Parts: sequence; C-alpha cells; structure tokens
Amino acid sequence: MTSLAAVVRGAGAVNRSWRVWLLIWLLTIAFALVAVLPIAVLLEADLGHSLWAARMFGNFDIAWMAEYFAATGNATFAIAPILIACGVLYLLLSTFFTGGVVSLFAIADGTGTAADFWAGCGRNFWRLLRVLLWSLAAYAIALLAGAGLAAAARKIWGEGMEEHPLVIFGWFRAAFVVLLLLLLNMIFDYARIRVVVEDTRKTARSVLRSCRFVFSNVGLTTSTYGLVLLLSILLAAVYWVLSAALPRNSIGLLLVVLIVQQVYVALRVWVRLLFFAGQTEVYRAMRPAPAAEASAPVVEEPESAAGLVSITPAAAAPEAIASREPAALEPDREPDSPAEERHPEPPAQAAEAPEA
Amino acid sequence: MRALSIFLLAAAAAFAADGRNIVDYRISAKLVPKDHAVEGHETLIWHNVSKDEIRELQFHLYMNAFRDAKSTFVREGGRADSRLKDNGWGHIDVKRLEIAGGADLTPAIKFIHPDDDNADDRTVISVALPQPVRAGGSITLDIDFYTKLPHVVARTGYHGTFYMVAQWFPKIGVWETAGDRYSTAGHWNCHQFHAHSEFYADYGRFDVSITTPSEYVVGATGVEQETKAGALPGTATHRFVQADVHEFAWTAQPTCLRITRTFDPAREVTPAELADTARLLGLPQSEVRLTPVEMIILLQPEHAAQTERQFRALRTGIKYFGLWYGAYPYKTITLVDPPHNGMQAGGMEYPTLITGGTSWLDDPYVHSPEGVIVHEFGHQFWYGLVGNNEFEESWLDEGFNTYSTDTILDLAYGAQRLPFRLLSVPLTRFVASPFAPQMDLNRAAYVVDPKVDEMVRNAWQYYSGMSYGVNSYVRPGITLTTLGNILGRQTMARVMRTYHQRWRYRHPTSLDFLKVVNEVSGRDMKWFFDQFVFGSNVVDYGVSDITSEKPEGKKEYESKVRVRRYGEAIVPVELRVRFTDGKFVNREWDGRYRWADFKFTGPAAVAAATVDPDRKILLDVRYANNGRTMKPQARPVMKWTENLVFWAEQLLLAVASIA
Repeated sequence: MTSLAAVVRGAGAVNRSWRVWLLIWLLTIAFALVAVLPIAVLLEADLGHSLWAARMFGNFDIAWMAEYFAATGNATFAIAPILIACGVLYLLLSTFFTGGVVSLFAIADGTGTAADFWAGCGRNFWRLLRVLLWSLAAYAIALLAGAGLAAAARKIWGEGMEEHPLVIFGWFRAAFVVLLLLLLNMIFDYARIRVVVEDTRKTARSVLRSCRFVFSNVGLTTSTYGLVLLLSILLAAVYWVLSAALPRNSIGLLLVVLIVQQVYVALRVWVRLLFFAGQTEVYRAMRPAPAAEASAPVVEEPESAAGLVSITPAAAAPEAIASREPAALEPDREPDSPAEERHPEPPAQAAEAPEA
Repeated sequence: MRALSIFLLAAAAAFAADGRNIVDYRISAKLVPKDHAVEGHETLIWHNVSKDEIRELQFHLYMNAFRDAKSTFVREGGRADSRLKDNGWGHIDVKRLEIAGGADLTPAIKFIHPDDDNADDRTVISVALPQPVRAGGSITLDIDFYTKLPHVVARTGYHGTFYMVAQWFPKIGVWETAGDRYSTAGHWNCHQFHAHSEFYADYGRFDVSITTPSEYVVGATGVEQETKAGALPGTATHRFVQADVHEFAWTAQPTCLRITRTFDPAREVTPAELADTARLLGLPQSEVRLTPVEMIILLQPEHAAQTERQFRALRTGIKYFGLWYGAYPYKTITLVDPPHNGMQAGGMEYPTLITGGTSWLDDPYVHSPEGVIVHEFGHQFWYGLVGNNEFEESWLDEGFNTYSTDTILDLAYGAQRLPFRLLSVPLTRFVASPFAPQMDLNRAAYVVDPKVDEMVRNAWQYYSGMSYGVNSYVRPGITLTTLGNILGRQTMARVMRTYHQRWRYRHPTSLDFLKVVNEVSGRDMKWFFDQFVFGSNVVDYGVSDITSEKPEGKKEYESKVRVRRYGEAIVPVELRVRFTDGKFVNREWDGRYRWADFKFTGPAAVAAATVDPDRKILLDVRYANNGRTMKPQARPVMKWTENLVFWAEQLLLAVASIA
C-alpha cells in the first residue's frame, strides 16, 4: 500500500458515496444560510434603499460598519447566539455523520447502503462525541504548548531592544503548533476510524492505539494525510486565483461567483471525506495484528449517554484471543455488530488485493 | 561699559516682551546609565512680561507622575505597566532651589494640587518668593535636581541602553495675566500631570550640555554646537542650543545609526507647486518659499532598510506644512526611531525633535511609519510654533494636526488599505483589504459615540481615555474638514495660514481661531463653533420617503421627496434629486425644521434623492440614510450575502475538520 494508492482508492470510495457528499454539502449551505440570514435581513433593512449601498458595491466602506454598529447598538449582537448555535449544531451533526461516512468507507467492496450509513451514524455518535471531547482537550494542550513556547521566547528575547528574534521565533513556533495540530488531527481521524471499524466503545484506548498506529506507520500515515492536505491547499489556491480574477459588477457575474464559490465548498466537503476515505484505506491495510492489539492495556470508560451497558473484560488474555476467528479477535468488539456480520474485515494482508 | 550694560538689559527686556523669550534655561545634565538617572543643574532666567507682581513661582515636576501608584497620573488610569510597577518607577527630586546669589528657596518648596485633591501627587510645586518679581522684571534661579528615569512610559524613560529623556527637569509654569487666553485675573497655569493630557509652557531659549558615556549617540532639541570630552574619562559632553521653543528633550543610545540629509526646497518643491500655493493663499511666492533643513534620523539598526521611507516622510512633512502654514523656521529636525520595547517613547513631539515608530517588517501598502512621522512633524507647527494649552484645549494641536496630517497623507500617498498582518508578516497586499482614506477612518471613530463630550474640555475631564482621543484627534479632524467644505478650499487654506502666522510663538484659544475664521471668511461662523466645537449635538439628515406617480389623464409625474433632520444640530444642506431620465435637480434646504417636502413635476419619475450628496458634512453620523432610491438596491446586498454565506461555509467546514 502506498499513500497515493490509498488516496486514489479513497477518492473512488468518496465518489461512490456521492449521496453522502451531496447531503453534507447541502447541509453546509443550509447551516450557512441560517447563520447569515439574520445578517442579510439587517443589511437589507439598512441599505436596501440606500444610495450608499451602490457606492459601497465596489469597495466595502469600513465607515458604514462603524456607523451601523453605533446606530443599532447591541441589537446587532443579538444574532450572536444564532451564530454560535449554528456552529455547535454543525459540529454535532458532523460528528454524527462521521460514523456513517467511515462505516461506508470501511466496507471494502463499496457495497454500503443508506441503511449502513444511517446505522453507522447512530451506532457511533456517542463514541465519536467522546473522541471529539478527547480531541478538544488535546488541541487545547497543543495550543497551551504554543503559548508556553511564546512565554519562553518572551523570557529569552522579550526584554530585548530588537524585534526580529521574537518574530523569527514566532514563525517557528507557529509552524510547530500548526504541525502539532495537524498531527493531532490525523491521530484523531484514525481514532475515529478505529472506533467505527473495530466497533468499539473504548474511545480512550482507540486514541492511544491510533497514536501508536500513526507512529508505527509514520511514513504511510503522514504521506497520505499530507497528500490530501496538499490537494486541499491546491484547491484553495485555484479558488483564490479564480475568485480574484472574477469581476462582480453585475447580477450575472454575481451568479457566476456564487457558482464558483459553491463548487469550491462542494470540493472542500469532498476533500474532507477524502481524508477519512484515504485514511480508512491505510488503516485497513496496516491494521495491527489482533494479538498486539490485545496486549495493550484496556482503559475503562463511562458508558454512553444512550444508556447502553457494556460489560467489557478489563483485559483479555492473549492466548484466549489468539484462538478466535479474525472478526472476533478484537477484545472490545461487540459480537452482534450487524455491519461486521455482513462485511467482515479482511485480514491485513488481504487489503492489498485489488478491489472487485 | 555701563552704557553697554544698559543697552543689553533694555534689549533683553524688549526681546522678552514679545512673549517669545520668557524663559532662558541653561542646563548641565549628566546621564548615569547604571542608575538610569540624570544629575542636573539648571539656571533659569524667568522674565515677568505681565503687568502683575509675582509673589510665588510654580513648577512642573512631571517625572513625579511615575513616582508611585498614588500619583494622579496612575490613579487616573495612566499607562503603568508591570515593568514600571516592578522596578521601573521614576521620579525627580529638587535638591536645591535658590535665587542666584541670593536666598535659598528649598525650604519653601510646597507640593500643590491645583486640579484635584490628591495630596500624594507631587507633579507641581509652589515656591513663595521673599521679594516679588516686578512687572517687566526677571528672576534668576539656580536649581540642582536628580531625575530617576522610569522604564519607558508615557513618552519618557529608558529601555535597555535606549534613553528618551523628556519632561525631565523642573519646568516653570505659565503666568497668565488678565486678558491672556480666558484669564480674568493673573494666575499660574500649572496643571498636574494627568493620564490623558500633554503640556503647556512659555517660549524661550535652551542651552543644554549633556554628558554621557562617549559611545552614546545623542540627539536633542536644537542645534548641536559642540561635542567635547567630558570631565570624566570615557565621557563626552554635547551642547545643544535652541531659541523660540518651549520644551527641550533628548535621547541617547550607543547602538543607533545616525543618518543626516538636507531638505532642499529647490529639489522638493516644483515652481508650479510654489505658484499654485501662492495663488491659493493670495501671497507672493517669496512668502511661501521654503528654507533648507538638516534632517537627522537616529535609526535602530534593524530598521536600516526603512531609511528612505523615513526620510521621504520627513520631507513630505517639511514640504506641505511649510507651504501651507509658513516655512519651518528651525535649522534641524531630529527623528528618533525607538527600539523594540521602547515604543512608549514613540509617536511623540518635542521642538525640533520627534519620535516615530515602526516594526521590523514594514508594509509597503500601509502608511506606517509615514503616518506617525508626518503627524509628529506636524506638531512642530501645531504645538511647537503655535503653543496652545494642551491641558485645556487639546484639539487645538492634536485636532489641527490630525486635519493637516491626514490631508497631507491622502494627498502625498493616496488612500491606504486597512492593514493586515499574520505572525508580524504584512499581508495587506494579498488579502485585498478595503481602502480607507484617513478622514473616513476618523469619521468611523467619531460616529461610535458622538455625543459623549464637548470638544473643548480639560483633557483630564473627558468621559474616558477613548473620548479624549476622539475629541482631541479625530472629531476635530472631521470638524475642520467640514468647516473647510462649508467655507471652500481657498478660504479654509487662508484661514489656517492666517491663524498659524498670527499665533506663532503665542498661546491661542478656540475663540482666537473663531475670530480668524470670521475675519478671513467674512462670515459669522459662531453658529458652527457653538454646535460643533463648544457643543455636543450631532448632525443627522436623511431622505425618509420618495413618492412619484403619474395621475390619470396627466402626462407628467408628480413627485415628492421628504427630508428629515434626525439630529439636533442644524446645518444648511443640499438636496440632489435624480430622475429616471438621468437628469438632476439640486435644492438648498436650511435644515432648520425637523422635516421638509420637496415637490417636483416633470416627464420623469424620481429615481433617487440625496441630502448632502457631496458629503461635505463629515459630521453627519448616518450616511446610510442620506440617499434613498425608489427601487430596492438588490446587487450590493446580494453580493455581501453571497460572500457572507461563503465565509460562513468556510468557518463551518473548519469547525467540522475536528469532528
């Protein structure tokens, strides 16, 4: 398995799941519209008949914003809760969909159905929510590490009479924090994939195992992630160039810009799905041997809010696990997983086989 | 010999009587870097040019604002950062104060608090005299003082080996006799140092010798006369002299670069510019001709790449301020570029010495450091040459200078984009941020809270620090621009020139400016000053409604435009009505009553109507209601909505990337 192969296969998987892609794209538009609608109404009320609107059509006037906020006072900020609610709901919805998306991508022959998708969404939501909380904590630690570096730099150069050492260090610090955040993002992507593929409720263990997985296969995991990241950067660059070149001085051209913008948004959704699809391919190919999995310590976790009770052995004896069938080898796998029954995961070496 | 003495005394008295030479300071100062301190001896000759007998003297000890947290400066919320509080406090002690060859006045020193009841504030002292100073007489004082500099704060202090030494010596207040400014009886005008105020002093001559370690590069107010070896080995003494100024500041740093150039009027001002300016001002060209100036920049080594930018900004200031208000009369101008962490010394003005401010990576698309340099140079004219009381009428220097600076920046550099930086890297070019002319930015700051204060007010008595800023800088800037739009460009140019020339080396008030406005324009503009300088009412005119219909059986449209006055202030405004056939009609409205209807009959319906269509009244707090169209404006709202949706989508997708 190479990273390019993983990305290419992932792209095929995303394309086969075009209905999911469409659904997420439309939902993204819907959420953005809900968030922006109150602002658009306020804009229309203030500028709908104003000649200033025509004047500002070419170059946005910062003075209008100051004037507007001064005239409307706190009323404008009343829409802040709507914006925050939209963001939180969208995050939860994305978490919900991740379970379904990865479930589909985990089905090797690409025969996943809508039922598989929705089942994956529902079954994994609370687990992935816990992964999300772990990830937020990890991101916060990463940012704190960045702040710590900044504080150290201030201690070393902060009282100096030259600015450039701090600025140059600031670039390195920012690069470090960004790389750390990307690494965490990748680790938590694998944690999500593991939770879904292994059908496990043990999210903390999944995070630790995915961490080990990433570093055990550091070349493949980082290059796959990097390839998709590069693709998203290229897309952004193409959009930036195109957007800068397009004039916006007529209704027709505004419609053209609207189409370009929404195509770009659709492609961003596609790229986000590609992250999961490509990394799921990698995970399936490089999945750790069950015995190694079983030897890792088990972390007990609280039950999900759904009220399900899971009685999981604190640790399975390696010799006992070694005697099971591949699908049953995972110590934290739930035996009645319908998806696994229909589409049992192939062993690691089988993942290299060409797709049907 | 006696005849010569009488002649010299008479000459000195006559010289002092014009108000330009009330003080004569001779100071010897020694910088003690290990203590961040200055040991000084001051000989002050003070001339009593009033008709009063002076029985006491008052002095500013500005540096005591940084003595501790009890000073009025700190209590009012002045900038006292942790460095200051940890170990960087500063103070000034008067060790000895005596009449030259006479009585020791040191025991008579009393701390007074003319502005508040803060007994812990030590920024003003009073000294009772054993003998009064007669009208037309003078007194010579010998003063020993010790100034511990603070970690750089509020325009003065040290950081590392950088020293900006300002407000550093015992400085006599201003005796205002009856008839001076707003005075009805003689009194000392000697305010405490406040968090939001600057300074006020009489003109005179400074002769200052500064001793520093010999490796230090020194810059100061005035012309450097000589540099010689100091009394102690490894030290050097620099002597600076300047007449016709009311302050003296200096700087020292061993590592800065000293670069000099000459402002050459023949190269900087074209004959056409000279002719245009002379025509605009109604003066012969000989009166608007400029003189050479030696420009000295003390630059941080890490800003060496910005040398040309900084010199160009200085040349721009010397050229336009000189052409508009009169040639810069001094021989030198020194620009100090403070180091990183020394920016509290940046953006400040002293006679013939200003401080700028820039960052390591400069942005070619943003007018910084130009904005700071042109503004601080402008203070040579508004504060330096026209010496208003900054404590009591800060708009007369900061506001006049904002008006002048921003006009010059837009003229010389064009509108700038709003700056954008990421990790200190200027990215303005790449994000294509909106253009923002200086006066638009000023107006944006003003409209946020336009009624909170009247413009003319004691600087420490504004509602807040923000209000001090708005009412001292940006509001006067747009008020003067509005006044200029009402009077016309030529009249306004002549008003400003006349006011500047008439009040050079003197202390004018807002009323003095009003007198010049009325005199030069030939109009009574008291109504304008009452509302916008001495009042806090706001202007807000708008078009509230347009109707246009063709009655049955008639061939012409009957249209009506209703205009309203939403604000309290009254200004005559213009109404411009555009019809669907592209024709325009202009109407004048006195703007007095709360609303008015304007009716039109013609072959075309009204398409749009605008009050103040040329935006002459920058003080109008709501432009959005000034112009109204018959049909809704779909395109702009659509454009912004589609952009907002796009950016909301980007934000949502960014959020989703962690899920």
